Order: sequence, then structure tokens, then C-alpha cells
Amino acid sequence: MSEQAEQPYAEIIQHAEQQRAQEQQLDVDEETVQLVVFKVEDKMLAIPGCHVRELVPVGEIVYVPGTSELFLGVIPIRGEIASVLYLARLLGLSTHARPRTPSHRILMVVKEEMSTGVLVDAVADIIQTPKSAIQPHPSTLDPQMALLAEGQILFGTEPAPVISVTALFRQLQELCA
Amino acid sequence: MNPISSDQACILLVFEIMGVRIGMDARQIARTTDCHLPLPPATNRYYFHERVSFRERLSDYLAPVILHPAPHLALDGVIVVDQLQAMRTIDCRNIHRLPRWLASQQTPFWGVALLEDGLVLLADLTRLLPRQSHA
Repeated sequence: MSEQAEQPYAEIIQHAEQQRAQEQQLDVDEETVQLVVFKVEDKMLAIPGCHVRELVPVGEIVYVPGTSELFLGVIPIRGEIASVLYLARLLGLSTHARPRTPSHRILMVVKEEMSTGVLVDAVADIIQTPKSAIQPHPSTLDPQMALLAEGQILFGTEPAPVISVTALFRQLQELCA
Repeated sequence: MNPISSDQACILLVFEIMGVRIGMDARQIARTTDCHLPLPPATNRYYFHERVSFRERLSDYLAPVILHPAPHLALDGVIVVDQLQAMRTIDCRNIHRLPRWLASQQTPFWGVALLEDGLVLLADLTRLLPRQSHA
């Protein structure tokens, strides 16, 4: 094959290598965050993965009479007892829990000495995303959601508010005081 | 203060109300009597579900039993519970505090016993019945 004929391919390869190098540079420079993306009442939401200790299939949740309707009850987990938050009610999305399905999960959410299980309808994905992909949430966001959201991402084409664990526990402290 | 302070074993009187399994420190109970037997005159009778909200759950009592508080507690009246089960001797290491979000609310429960056959909520009778008033 002549040198002239090889030339266009060489350019393509060089261009591709440059592109890859740029992308790698971006990957190294850009801080990423892990998010657990989940569904509650047909609404897509996300929460930082660093605060999710584990995802637990839903077994029996023992109702505790005399406690706030924000909580469904308690569960045993690894020899301890955890509360189960009914997030849909806290967000004003629902007042009655849906019938449980195999896709329901409890996210064990932890920050410092505070923790609770959070019932979700399904976990959609666990993603690693650049921090810059978390955009400010729109001003049209539901006020209750806006209290808890630290921003939002696009999950596919669907906006998913990112729940701030700090805001979540702050609100629980206010409501359960 | 929790009514059980021993770090060894404790005896629970376990019953069930509207599908919720509840245990009470046996030292808080003087005796149990059939719900159909007459009570001494002027004895106040309280149903468990009247003293704590079960939200919209139906207040059906299938096999009601009266718990009489131990005299040293100086509590007024008696409390009606349902479906009395066996006395359970449990290792106190299986008793846990209620999670903070639930413990901070108005509830008669002070802990949860983690048993082989599930969870039992631990109720404090002094949070359920009023104190005796001495005229």
C-alpha cells in the first residue's frame, strides 16, 4: 500500500488518540459522585451513594403505634433495629403506602450518628456521575421537594432531584422533636 | 428510665393488639384476669388502643384480657390487652432502644426485643395508665 493511501487513516487514528487523551484528562480532573437512583410513586429521585450503607429487600416492617405517620415502623437489620421512613409521605407524594412488590427496597441511609431506613418503590440504578452533572433544581420544583433537594440530574431524559441527606435528617429532627 | 435495668434476663408478658406484638416487663403486672369477670367498684378500665394511637387500624379484640398493674407503681385502673401469649424469658442483650426518630415521640414504647421469631415492642405500663390521684 502506498504512503499516500495510508495518510488519511493515520490522521483518523491520530485524531482518535487525541480525543481519547482529552477524555482521559477530563476523567481525571472532574470530581465524580456516586448516586443511587430510585423511584418513589413514579417519581425518579437520587441520593448520594456515600450515605447509603446498603439496599435491603423489604421484609416485615413492624408498625409502632403512637409514632408519626412519616414512619412505617421498624425492622431488624444486622442485629440492630432501624426505623423505616415513608419518604413518599414526607415528600407529599402519597398518603397511603402502595402494596409491596418484589422491586421495593429499603435504603439504609446514614450520616454520622443519624440513620434510618427509607422505603422506595424500586432502585433504578447506581451511577457514577460528574459533580457538575448535578444542576440546581428548577424554581418550579414542588416546595416540599425543594426543601430536601440539593439539585437534580438527568437520568436518561427524566429529571431526578437529588436528595440532600443533611436536609433530610434536619427535617426529621424538626418533625420528630 | 427503662423499667428493666438488669443486664441478665428479664421476663416479658407478651400479647398482641391489632397485629402488633407487644411485651411488658412482668414485674409491672400484679395479675391478669378474664375480661368478663367483674372488677372492683370504681376501677377504671382502659383499652390499650385508647391509650395510644393505632391510626386507622380496627380496634378488634379477639381474646381480651385485663392486666392489673403492680401496686408499687401506684397507677390508676387496669388495662385491657388482647391475645395474651406465653411469658417469655429473654436475654436483655436482645433488647434495643427504639430508633431515635420514634423514641422522641409520644409513645408508650421504650424499646424493642429482637427474638428468634420476630420483634416485640416493649411497652411501659407507667406511660399507659394515669397515676393514682390521692384525694
